[in-house]
Amino acid sequence: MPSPPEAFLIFKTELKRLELEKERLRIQYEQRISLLNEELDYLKEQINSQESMLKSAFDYASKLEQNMKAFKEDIIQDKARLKESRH
Amino acid sequence: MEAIRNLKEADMEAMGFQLRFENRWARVAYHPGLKVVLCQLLSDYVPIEHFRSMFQQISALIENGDFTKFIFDKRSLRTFHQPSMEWYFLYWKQEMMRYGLLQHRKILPNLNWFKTAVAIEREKIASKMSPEAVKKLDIRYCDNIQEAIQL
Repeated sequence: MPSPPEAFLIFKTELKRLELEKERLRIQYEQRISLLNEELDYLKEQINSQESMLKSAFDYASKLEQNMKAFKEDIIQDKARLKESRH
Repeated sequence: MEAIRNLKEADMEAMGFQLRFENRWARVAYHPGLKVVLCQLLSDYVPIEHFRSMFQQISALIENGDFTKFIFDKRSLRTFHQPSMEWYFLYWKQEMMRYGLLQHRKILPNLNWFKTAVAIEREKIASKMSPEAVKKLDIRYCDNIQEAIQL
């Protein structure tokens, strides 16, 4: 069988090299995407935690507001009772 | 970050601390003489899977050593994951009581809003703690590592 022309051999070698390079880039791309997805998941978890912290703070503030209102009402009632007892 | 500046690896070595491990989220060191384990968080948030894995490694250190105090430096934190904190507070601390770790010193970031957020959550979690743990555990807040070591 006659040996293939040199240009063909060079082309074949180059093709193999490019295929390997393509595979390397594919793996690198997939690793980067995986890392980005991981970071994205962390960020989502962090945002959820921040939401939860905000919710707790608002719930706490609402509770404080209600307690303050109840406390004010108690003071008003106590004052009224005191006035009545003096009469 | 303030937490990292506060106690660099070289400083820790000079103080007699030995590095157990360090990763993106935390640096954990221990001092056999002082019977102290120190965990310095290094990021503004620690995802739950890494938080638990970190504490599993710390558990192994405590179970195989003789430690009475755990210093948790959370100054780099800006967000906390409530279920992680609940797990740490209600499960991990009580589990470590079995190995004689009763003193907990915590260092929070010097941010009023963060301290208030922690106080709100702590109020909820503390009510779920067992009476035995409430009685035995000595939990205090400190401003820096040196104070936490001494207190």
